[in-house]
Amino acid sequence: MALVEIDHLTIGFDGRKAVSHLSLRIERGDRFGIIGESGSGKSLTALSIAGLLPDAAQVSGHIAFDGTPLPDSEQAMARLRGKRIGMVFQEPMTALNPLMTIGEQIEEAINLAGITEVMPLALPDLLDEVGLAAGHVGRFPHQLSGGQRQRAMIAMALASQPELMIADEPTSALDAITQRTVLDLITDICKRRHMTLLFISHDIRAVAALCDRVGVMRAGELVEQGDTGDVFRAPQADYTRKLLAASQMQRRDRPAAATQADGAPLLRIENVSRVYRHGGLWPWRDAPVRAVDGVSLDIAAGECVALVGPSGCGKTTLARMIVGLDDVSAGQLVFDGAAYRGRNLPPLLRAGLSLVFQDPFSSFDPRMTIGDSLGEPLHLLGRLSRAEHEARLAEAIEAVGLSVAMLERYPHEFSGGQRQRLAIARALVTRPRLVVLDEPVSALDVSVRGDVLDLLSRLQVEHGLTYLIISHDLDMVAAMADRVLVMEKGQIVEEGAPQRLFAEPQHDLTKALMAARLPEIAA
Amino acid sequence: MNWQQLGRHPSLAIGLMAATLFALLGLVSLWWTPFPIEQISIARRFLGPATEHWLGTDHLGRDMFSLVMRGTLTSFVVAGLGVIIGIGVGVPLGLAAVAWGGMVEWLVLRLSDITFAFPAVIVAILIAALFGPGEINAVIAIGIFNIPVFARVARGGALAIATQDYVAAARLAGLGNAAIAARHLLPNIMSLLIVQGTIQLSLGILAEAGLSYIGLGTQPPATSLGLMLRDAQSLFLIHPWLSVVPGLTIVLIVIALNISGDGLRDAIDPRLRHEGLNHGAG
Amino acid sequence: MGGGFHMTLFLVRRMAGFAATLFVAALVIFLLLDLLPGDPARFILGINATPEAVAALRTQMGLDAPAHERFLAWVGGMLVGDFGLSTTQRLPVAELIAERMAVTLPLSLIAMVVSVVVGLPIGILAAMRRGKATDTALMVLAQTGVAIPNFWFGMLLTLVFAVTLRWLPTGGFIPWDEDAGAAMRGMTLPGLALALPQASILARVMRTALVDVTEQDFIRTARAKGMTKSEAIWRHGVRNALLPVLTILGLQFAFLIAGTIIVENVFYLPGLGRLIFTAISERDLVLVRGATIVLVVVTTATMLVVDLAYAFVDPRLKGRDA
Repeated sequence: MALVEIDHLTIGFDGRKAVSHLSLRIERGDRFGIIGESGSGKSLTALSIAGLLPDAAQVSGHIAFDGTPLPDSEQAMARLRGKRIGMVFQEPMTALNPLMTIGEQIEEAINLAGITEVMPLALPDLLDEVGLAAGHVGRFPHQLSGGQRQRAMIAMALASQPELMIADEPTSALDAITQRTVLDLITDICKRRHMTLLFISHDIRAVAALCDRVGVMRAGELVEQGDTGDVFRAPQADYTRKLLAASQMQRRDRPAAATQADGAPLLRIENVSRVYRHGGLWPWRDAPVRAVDGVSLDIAAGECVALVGPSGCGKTTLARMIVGLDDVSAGQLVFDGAAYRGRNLPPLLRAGLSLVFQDPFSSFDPRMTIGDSLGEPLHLLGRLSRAEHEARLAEAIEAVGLSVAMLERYPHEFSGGQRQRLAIARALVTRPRLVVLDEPVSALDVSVRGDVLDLLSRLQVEHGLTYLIISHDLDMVAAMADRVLVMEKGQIVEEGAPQRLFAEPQHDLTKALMAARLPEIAA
Repeated sequence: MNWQQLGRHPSLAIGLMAATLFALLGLVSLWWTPFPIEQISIARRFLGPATEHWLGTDHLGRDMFSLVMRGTLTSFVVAGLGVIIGIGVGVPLGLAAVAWGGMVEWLVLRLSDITFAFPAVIVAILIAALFGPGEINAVIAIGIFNIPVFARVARGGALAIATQDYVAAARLAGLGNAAIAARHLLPNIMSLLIVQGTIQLSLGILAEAGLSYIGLGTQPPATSLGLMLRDAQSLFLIHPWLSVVPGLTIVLIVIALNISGDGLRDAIDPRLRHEGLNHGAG
Repeated sequence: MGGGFHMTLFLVRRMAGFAATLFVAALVIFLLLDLLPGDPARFILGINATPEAVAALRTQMGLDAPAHERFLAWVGGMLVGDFGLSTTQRLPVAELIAERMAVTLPLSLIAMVVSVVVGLPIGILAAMRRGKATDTALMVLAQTGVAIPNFWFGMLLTLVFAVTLRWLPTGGFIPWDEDAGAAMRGMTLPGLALALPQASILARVMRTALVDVTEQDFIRTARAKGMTKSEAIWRHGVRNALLPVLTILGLQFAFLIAGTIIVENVFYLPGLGRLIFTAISERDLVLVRGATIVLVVVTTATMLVVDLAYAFVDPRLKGRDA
């Protein structure tokens, strides 16, 4: 008998269907993965098994747990959740009560499980199992790192020794290295306890590494399911094939760039540091934080350089100084022969470099037309005639494969992929020489990432652009960059061509990053 | 906001309609009232509601309906001017705090701390001690009370906007602090300001009533709803009607405005619920 | 990083901010009441006063000294409890204010306690029954309560409970040391009148805060652990929802003090409000100055207490720059 049996589940909100006629079975001992992009209904499916759907949801169909239909009463459902199902959610910061210590919250889960008849499950054992130290018990969630918070969540889920663990994107809020350790932890626990797992993710590789059975969801429907090996070796649905293709990044090769005649670099960063001080003018203020600490590097015209490192390593701060959003504390920047310290970048020089932001949803003012947003950087060029202004807009939007008619529209009318194209168009409108790309595809759905990267490589060739990519995504970097710089605690610790760097990492951080990569899916 | 949206929020439609009705009633009193407001006729005093005097007459024989009409106008004008002062001074301060940051932000925050230490009644007392009571007194007191409220709402809203990438994009495009505040911050906090403006308008009407009632606000021969209550104070044990009419009018206006405020908040953007301030009346 | 050190730091900063706000507020009051009228002595005595009388008052008020010395003398005096002499009543201002505060402060506290005891449970109940008839009924009540001017509600209460039912006095005040029971009865109706709008506001804020918290992820986590929805709201939601309510509570106490001044009028209570109105009509600037600074101190102190309470309840504020 299947542990979980879902039969024609349909979930709707205000008449719009978010999940439709979904049926699946999870056998006892399975590690079942559901892959899907944002809005595919995968999380709702998981929540419905635990009876945690929002009140506004209209549900039809049947769900049975261990052969019996889910109870109707909240009381009985709560008992089922407490004793037989454990859950881990995506964002451990908001999923934990900010006013209670980790210890109190785990103890609460133990008490609710009430497992006296099995064996007294002690807090120290649980902490040990998820790799937390006894000292963490008295801490509040904000005093822990993301990985530690997620470990605490897992401890809470394990407290009742559940038969089913539901993990809903448990690692997507964590950085690459922590992501891998948490995934390994979940795998170990499942194997040791022979626990059934339902793993929800948008990351096809994580699912491939962790699960023995897999379902693929798209727009509320299960388009394919089966054994992991079979599905990925011979995918039946077009959509699965597309996801698989997108997960295997091909190297975008391009003709060798023509370097500047005199060999001078386009951008030179000379011993740049950025120090943040907190606590105002009080004499007892905290020690200053060195976000960027004595970084020097050159970028030649036509190059594509990538800056990688864990979150908080200073790569974004460095990018902000380069484009003139922040000032250096020491050192200087030289762009095209002119020195500047950050925000004092003169307008005409500003027109020569631009930035593409990570999140396409926040990079356009919702109250302005696309045309107005795209035209904003043209101020930098002084007064343009109306005709020239419009010609520039048309040139930029057509360069990214969209039509001039779209200039009249507002941002909410576009999808994430289209918005990122528009963001690239805005970056190109002043015809810059250097474009800084801050995580250019990480906020996009997997299936459109490839298209945006293709666009970027085409534009680089056509317009002779120089790229500086800021990312934590090593596969994307390997596909795009000529040279990779690894950054840690404000300093550049290693640099080299991607093939060399990834094959023989020297620095500990680079090694750890490489070790954290999930294996590619064997085709 | 269009008619279709109004249809989807019936309480908003009712609230807006009622508030507009009261405002119009007050406005009409400038040109027409059933009886002249100043017409005193001791012989006709303390009349109950009847066909001639819809809401009866007061202790001087004046027509209550006419008084309510004009009193409503005074209440709206005083509260409205208070909101205009609050928005006019508070919003630029709040936006400047976000756009410039650093010292400017520190100064604005301290300034609003200090202003918060002076509730409207205290400001009214100070002004009255110097220049004597009057409508202007009430306008200034309510206005000063509104300044830190709008400064904080504008700052709170703008802080959320300022972290958006499109503001950084505007800085990259060479826009200065003032241009960013005007082009990106202000338009995006407009709905927040409209909602808060409605709430402050209703609080202002309550505050005007309180100030006029204790004699620091509107003075005779002008009239306001609060002043009518002050006039009725010594008589209300014998003639409760005289205080019921203006009191009930205040309640209805404030309910109408509050319903509109709540409705606007839900209709414009459900997320605003988290950011709006909810201040008690002075 | 020692938590104790950060806590001390936090306290020191907050106290410094409190003192600075009060200093600036005192400066504003001094500028308005001592410098703006030109010659306070002439302002107090009116245009018909003889030059001799004005000169005598000037000497008595110490007006011959330069402005900054007078300001420092005023602030220095207040620090040791000397608020000066009332120009009309010839009595120490501190004594006059203290006598009236014995009415105003208990009245505000009573109203505060009533509004919390009534408002918070109503808000919690409405949030737990969100969207149901109970919720709608309670929120209609609260919506009405917010709109009722407290002094008008006082008049209605008098009409019903004092005039018609004769349960309670219509007004006036018997001092606490003469008959505490009678004093309490005299405070009942004004306390209720003040509490109604505040309780309604609290109920609305509490409901909104709790509804917001209910949508947070950690409530879902608590349910995933095995709690029912209402258990999760009780054990995790209410405490978190009290944080925004605390801020409103602080603002409210400040407004209650101000509201007391108005409601005292309805019930003929000899509180601070009546003292101030007499002082204004008699142009007793020393008394007005003293009374307003006391009100400002109470308001600012309330904000300080809220800040400190916040830091006590919310572990995230300890050891962080604020």
